[in-house]
Amino acid sequence: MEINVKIKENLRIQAFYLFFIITSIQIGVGIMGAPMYIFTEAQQDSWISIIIAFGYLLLVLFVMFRILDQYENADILGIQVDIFGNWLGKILGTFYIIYFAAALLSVILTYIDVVQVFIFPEISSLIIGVLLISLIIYCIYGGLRVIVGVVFIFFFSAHWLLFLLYEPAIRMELDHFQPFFQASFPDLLKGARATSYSFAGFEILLLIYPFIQNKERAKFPTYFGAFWSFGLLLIGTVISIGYFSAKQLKELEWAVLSLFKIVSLPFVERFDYIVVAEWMMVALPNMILLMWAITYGIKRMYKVPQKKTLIITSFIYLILIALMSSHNIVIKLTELVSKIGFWIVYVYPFILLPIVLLKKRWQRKKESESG
Amino acid sequence: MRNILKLVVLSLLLITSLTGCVQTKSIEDLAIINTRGVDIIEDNKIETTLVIYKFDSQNQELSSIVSGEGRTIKGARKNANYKTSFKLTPGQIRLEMFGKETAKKGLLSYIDTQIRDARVSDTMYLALSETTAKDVIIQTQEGSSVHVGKYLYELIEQNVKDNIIPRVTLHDFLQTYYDNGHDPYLPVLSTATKSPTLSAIALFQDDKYVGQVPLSDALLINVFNKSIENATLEVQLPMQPFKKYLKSERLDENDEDTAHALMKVLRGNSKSKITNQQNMQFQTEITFNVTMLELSEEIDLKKPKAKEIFEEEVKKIFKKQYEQLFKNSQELNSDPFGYGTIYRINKHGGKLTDKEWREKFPDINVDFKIDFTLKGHGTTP
Amino acid sequence: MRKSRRHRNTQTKSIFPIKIDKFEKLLKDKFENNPDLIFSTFDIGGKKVCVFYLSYQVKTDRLDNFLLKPLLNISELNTPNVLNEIPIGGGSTTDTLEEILEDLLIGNVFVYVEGEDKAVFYLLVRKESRDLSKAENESVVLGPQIAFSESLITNLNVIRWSIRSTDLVLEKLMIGKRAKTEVRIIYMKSIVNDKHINTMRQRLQDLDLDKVDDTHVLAQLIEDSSSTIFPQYYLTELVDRFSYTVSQGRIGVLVDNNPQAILAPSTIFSFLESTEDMYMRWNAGSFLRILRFIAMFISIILTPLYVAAVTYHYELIPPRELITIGQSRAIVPFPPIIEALFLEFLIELLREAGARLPSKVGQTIGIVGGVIIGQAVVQAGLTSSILIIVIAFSALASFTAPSYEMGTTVRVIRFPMIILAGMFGLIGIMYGLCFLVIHVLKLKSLGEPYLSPIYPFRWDDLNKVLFRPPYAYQYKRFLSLRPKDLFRFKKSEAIKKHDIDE
Repeated sequence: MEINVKIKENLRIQAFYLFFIITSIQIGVGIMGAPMYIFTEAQQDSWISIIIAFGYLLLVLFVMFRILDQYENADILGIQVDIFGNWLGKILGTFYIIYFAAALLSVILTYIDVVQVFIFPEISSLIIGVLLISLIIYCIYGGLRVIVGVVFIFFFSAHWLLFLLYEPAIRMELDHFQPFFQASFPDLLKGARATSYSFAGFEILLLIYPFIQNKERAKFPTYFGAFWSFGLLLIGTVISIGYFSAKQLKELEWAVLSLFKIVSLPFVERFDYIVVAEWMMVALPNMILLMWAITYGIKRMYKVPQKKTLIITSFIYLILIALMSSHNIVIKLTELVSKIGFWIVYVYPFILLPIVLLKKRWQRKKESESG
Repeated sequence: MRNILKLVVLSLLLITSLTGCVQTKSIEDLAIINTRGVDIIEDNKIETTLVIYKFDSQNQELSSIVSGEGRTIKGARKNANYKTSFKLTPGQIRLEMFGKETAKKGLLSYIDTQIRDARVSDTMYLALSETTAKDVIIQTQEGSSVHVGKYLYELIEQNVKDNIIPRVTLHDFLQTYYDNGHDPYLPVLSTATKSPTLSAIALFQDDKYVGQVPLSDALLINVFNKSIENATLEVQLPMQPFKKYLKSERLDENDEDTAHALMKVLRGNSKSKITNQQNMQFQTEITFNVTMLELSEEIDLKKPKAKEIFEEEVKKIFKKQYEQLFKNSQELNSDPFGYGTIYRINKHGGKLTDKEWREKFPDINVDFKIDFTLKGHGTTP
Repeated sequence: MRKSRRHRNTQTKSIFPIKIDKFEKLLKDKFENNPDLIFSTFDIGGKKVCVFYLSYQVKTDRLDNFLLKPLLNISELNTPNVLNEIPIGGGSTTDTLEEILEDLLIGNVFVYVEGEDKAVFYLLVRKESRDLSKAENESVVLGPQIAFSESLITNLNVIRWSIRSTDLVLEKLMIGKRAKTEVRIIYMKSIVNDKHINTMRQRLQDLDLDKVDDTHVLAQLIEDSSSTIFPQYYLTELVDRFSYTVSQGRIGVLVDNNPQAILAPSTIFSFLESTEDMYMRWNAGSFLRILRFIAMFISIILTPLYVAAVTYHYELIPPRELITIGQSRAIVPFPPIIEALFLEFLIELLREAGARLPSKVGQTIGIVGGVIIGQAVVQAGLTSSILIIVIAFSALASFTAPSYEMGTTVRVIRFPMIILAGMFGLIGIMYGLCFLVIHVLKLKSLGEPYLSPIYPFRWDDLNKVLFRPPYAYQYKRFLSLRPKDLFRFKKSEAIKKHDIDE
């Protein structure tokens, strides 16, 4: 397996699209339920938790860039093979892909769950599953250029939802935040950890990085993308805390969606329905990117054509969706993914970086000795 | 390309074969509940009285009333559904009304079922009936020519818009209910007159009705809730201090004891704070900026002194009203103002349980400071 | 026009010198049962001369006055003398039968002096064409009304007059194996991106077909994706639109005998912009353009939304409208999806009937359809009156597209959208919209992304597609087309900032 990836010039993407990629994959379905999890840990100081999480997020991104910068044009799968050898590297890479697959499953199942709770209680999960999967397949067939296009356009076509938050925002009770700074530091950290599921996904950077055309300008869009999702999560959580009282919020599974229940305009009475449908545009880029990561990863490591894996994985997903669509399973799966994700996304890069640096230094020494 | 086409065709076929699973809810097959009344009848059964819209080409009658009994709200709805050929649906409930007896036993279980159902709107209004919800609904149907649901809903909505009564939607009620140290309140509809009218504001201890205060206090409570505009204020003033400032020509013919002033509130808001944590001393500052609409006596408000006296008099009246209202609520041990929240914020740790506040609330003292400014007096002073 | 003859490399064998009788027989054989070949033989000064042509392809009065008369006066007949003495420009010679036959068809008159080894021919073409007239299909209120005609010569003439520049290249290609048709690729050579020219030329040359029927057909033959419903090249009949687009660095393609021109590459926004946006003041122009975007969106979304709301999501309907919609729905015996499809179908029928019938009857159809049938349908309880408004609204919106093809596309898209809405409600609509976005993202026109400049995103181009700024700010051409010369004029001169009272 090649460590560095050769990408044709016309398949490369501009660095500023990284902003949209990072934001889209972070803001998927996680944000809908995040306020409850964060609030349970950090209470009215949840916003501090989110800021802490954001700081840590930037650190992780910095570390990822350091790792990637050590190579000419490599992704995580190549780097792992380079560091740990062919066998162990591929096993670790497979782990990564399984994690992506689990994340994708949890995203799809969560969205289906939301649709069933809010719009169609009686619809079969398989139908929505078929709808979503067919869109994913259709999009990935277009290649990375179309995928990034979908990410880019859906970013704009979903952000108008923010304006609807005006209504709940003016009904916020500011005393829900007072008194400030009551949560202990461990609680804040726990709260920060509760954001891990909604912030996760940016590890796709490790896979998509070789596709970037102007790598020297890749850092700012990435950090800014993380900042944007941080902003959205902060807005969602802050409005939820202000709008719902503490006891309500602790039991409210989809707090952010419930915010929209109050919004009503002269021509549409209930916006929560529209929002749940519109959320497809938020969740779909997320699913597409994850599916791309899975199929691309398999192609890279095992040389299976992407079309083949795409069709096979899709069928497996349809079966899983039909079997696993119960609310409890979805919650358990999400918890599991956020637990695994925490180690893979937030901890693992810190282990990888020193090894990469050591190896590179050793290599350079060897070269200078021989040369 | 052909591969994609095949896929699309295949998935479409799959979709169409599965469509039977989505149940349609065509508008003409539904009985859309507009107003729901909930009462407890003998041996703890629930009776729901539903005002429904049904669209039937044969029947010109648009709204009708069905009722059902059952152990739970959903059960009662099911029971009611036996009496109509249409499917009862809760997605457009605009008003939920409870009988007074029901409210005394606690409303939470009924409201909880509503909030659990994602189809139910958060914007529906809640109200209380002086007697039973059924009475109000039946009386409206007999007494007025408009649709029952529309009449009741618009009665409340209009008064909320005019800031006469505080807005209590499903969400507002739950938010105040769940906030520790803040008790919910609901408008009360009475059947004493020919058609239902707003008569009072009911105060609650948690979710249980404990008593009510007159409708004139509604605005006073509302000021605690939000900044209000465009509400009308009516006060009755003693004439004594104004004798000097009456417009001269009518001086002799006038010997009324009181004057009535109707004013429009340009801006009214309140600010409360705790002044002494130990003695539970609170201070509330209430600001009213008003403009004069109508004055029954010819007081010359152009004179600064007259204006000053006028403002002082109104302040006194408001202070008295507030103190009375506060005393009432302390006697009922229900805190619609949210002093508990202020207490909680300033308490160490920031935690306060409802029970704790129940014990403390009767002993707190509030110093009401009214700031009243007459900003204008129409075209004629 | 035809000063320069192309010299074929593959010279077939010369048939000259040949006896006139034999030659005549040879030609008559080729034009079997064809009385139109005039072959007249003269005997001048002892030498036999033949003149032959297709009677209706040449201007006979010119032939008589300028060819036959001088020919009879030539003292010593041979090929150089004929070329010299005949007072018509552009005379050439040939010696192969293939060339003779080919040139006969396009209105050449041949003169052959017996014994010579070359035949002389002159172009005396007579080509009937209709006069230039007003645009019928793309009607505009402001600006030049002139439209292309069927004659390529006239069209080229009009284009030359509207872009008087030596930069303008009118490249000629002959397409068709059995019957050749002249096709012109027109572009500004100092602006256009060579990649586009090469792609276009390549695609046209690679075409393997016996005859080009029409510009629309040609456009579909050189498209990037043939399975899509979206048109990929803008076809215009307006000369001003053509010259504006070409001067922006795009390519125009004209086909002989067709009053339409292909403009390439086109983006989805090309189909929604009208030349009128340019002629209006910038604020009105921008308003109209944005109006059209909204119209397209409404046209696609409105009827499906009605179907979704009435079938599944009664909660969405505001309480006041609920009663109106409910009551009008109550009398209708069909489910909403059938009702909507039925009415959409009716509207399409009316439109199609109006388009097919002679224009005088067509107007009547509009009135009969709109007023009488609409009224009757509602009274018969077949559809609700609200839906009539919804459908009329969305049909009207679809007609605002400046391109008839795009309008048709939008109307056709509505049908699957209605079905999706009837099956899955809002989720179905969202599915349809997502699918459309992905689909449009995949499309390309002449290798350029169809959604450009939205994606791939070009900030500099947005002011040319989403709205129209004042001309001072339109100092750049489309960056996404990568023209050779990006700037139309200098920005610094156009946008000078003055302080107060300077």
